[in-house]
Amino acid sequence: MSSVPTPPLTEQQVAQLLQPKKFWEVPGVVRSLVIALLSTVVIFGGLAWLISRSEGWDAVQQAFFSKPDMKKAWPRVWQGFQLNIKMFMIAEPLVLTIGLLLALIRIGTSSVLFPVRALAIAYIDLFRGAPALLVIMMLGFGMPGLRISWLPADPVFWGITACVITSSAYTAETFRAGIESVHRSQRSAARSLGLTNRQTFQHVVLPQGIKAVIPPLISGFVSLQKETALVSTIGPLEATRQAQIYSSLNFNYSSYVVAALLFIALTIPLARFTDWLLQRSAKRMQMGGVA
Amino acid sequence: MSALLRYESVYKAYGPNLVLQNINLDIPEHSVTCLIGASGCGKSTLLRCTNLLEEIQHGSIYLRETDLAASHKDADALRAKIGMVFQSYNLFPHMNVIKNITLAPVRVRGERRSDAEDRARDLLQRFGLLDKALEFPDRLSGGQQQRIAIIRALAMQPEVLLLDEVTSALDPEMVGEVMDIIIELKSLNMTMIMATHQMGFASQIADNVVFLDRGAVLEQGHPSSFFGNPQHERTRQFLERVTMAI
Ligand SMILES: Nc1ncnc2c1ncn2[C@@H]1O[C@H](COP(=O)(O)OP(=O)(O)OP(=O)(O)O)[C@@H](O)[C@H]1O
Ligand SMILES: [Mg+2]
Repeated sequence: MSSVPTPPLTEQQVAQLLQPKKFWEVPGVVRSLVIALLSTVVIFGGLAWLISRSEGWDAVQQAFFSKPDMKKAWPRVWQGFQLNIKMFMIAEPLVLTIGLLLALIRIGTSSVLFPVRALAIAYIDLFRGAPALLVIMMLGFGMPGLRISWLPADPVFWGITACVITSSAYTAETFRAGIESVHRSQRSAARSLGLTNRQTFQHVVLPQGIKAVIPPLISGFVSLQKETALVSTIGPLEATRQAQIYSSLNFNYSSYVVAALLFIALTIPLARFTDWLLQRSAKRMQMGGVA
Repeated sequence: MSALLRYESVYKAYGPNLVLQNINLDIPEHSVTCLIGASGCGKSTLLRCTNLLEEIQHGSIYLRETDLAASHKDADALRAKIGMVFQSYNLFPHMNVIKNITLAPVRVRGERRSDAEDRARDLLQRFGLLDKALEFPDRLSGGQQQRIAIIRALAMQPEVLLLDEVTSALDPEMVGEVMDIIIELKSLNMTMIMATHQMGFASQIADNVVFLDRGAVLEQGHPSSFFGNPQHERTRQFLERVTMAI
């Protein structure tokens, strides 16, 4: 405790304070990095050690992670996976369109359209609750079974249809949540400017509602991608089905791991993209709060 | 001189609650009317009814010769003649400033986009906000947002502007910039009805001060007589309370 007042910082010292720090210069960063690294090594190393020491490891490794089998299975699994991608690419636009349409019908208040609204609600309740696998099997086996000549018999067609039906019911609810999250005052503002109810919805409410639910919509993309694997149950030679064929011919499961890796490789970019979107909107919110 | 807006025996209820009762009021053209009164007395409701955002249960609101309450069919067209600015700005967050301002002129009045944008730029220039034309609302201060909201309403060239506590959500240092716009609009002869809690501003700008008490007009007058010599005990109490709070 000196009674002499400490002198203010020199200009140079202040300038140094304002220098952007390299990230390893931030106090504590190096320490946390080292700890994170150590604990990762200990935990994963420990797990690997445990698993590889277990009695059945060699057999399991041979059955699931055999490199030669993976190589051999790759061409047909990859070929099958292209069908998954194709099914997804056809289904997703339909899911978004039908989902949005259902949401719009559900939100409407016109009494003339009550029967349509009731149907939409029934559809959503029914197919949001029904397991996708069941719908796929009912359509895939049931529809061709009806022997109606003009109905397509192609299982890929029914697989896509089933995926669209279940996912659109889900997506409808996502859209509805988004639309309803738009604050009433936005509507007041638009109406006060003379916009009609319809213009207000089209230009003010809907764009904001959709923007609010982009992350859950993208989660829906991921689910749909994986759902296409269920279509294998009705026959199409997509990735899982190809993996299954390889596996039963060669008594080895490594083909399944190949299929799984393909699905994962496709979803990771989407997951990161969603994270990025969420982070960005969180930042925007903060800025809005400060302003 | 006949009134631009005339309220005749207006009643408004929310369910069982009577919120406006027997409102009779004349708003002369080019005048500024300030609505004051305790929280919940019905200021916002009266403005929202004027703009047909709410339906009234009884009475008439005339804009010149047209009974607003009776003409549901043309409600959208009528609403376009009555501008409204809200306490919470309510800019459209997904549009930049220029889009916010031009949405209604383009969609409602069918103006060409380029014409609407030129006019929007003129307005922004006049109120010193031209450099914000391409910003999104979340990048603007509250005061800037509220000034844009006023410009957005003006872009429809309304016959009357309704202002609902437009400075209440603002930090003190931003209140002035919004008040300045309102003062300028008065000098341009804009007819305005303004709900406010700021008695100082009301006495400075109003041609007529209207005191609402539990949904009814208890007393009104020129600010000098209204603030200088209020007639009713409840008015005196209210004024005492708000001046104490300041
Ligand atoms: N949408 C609504 N539904 C039901 N009651 C409402 C609604 N809006 C307002 N009210 C009621 O009407 C009364 C008048 O409200 P209003 O918002 O007009 O008051 P105000 O004078 O603007 O108050 P403040 O100064 O707090 O803004 C209040 O009792 C309020 O609870
Ligand atoms: Mg209010």
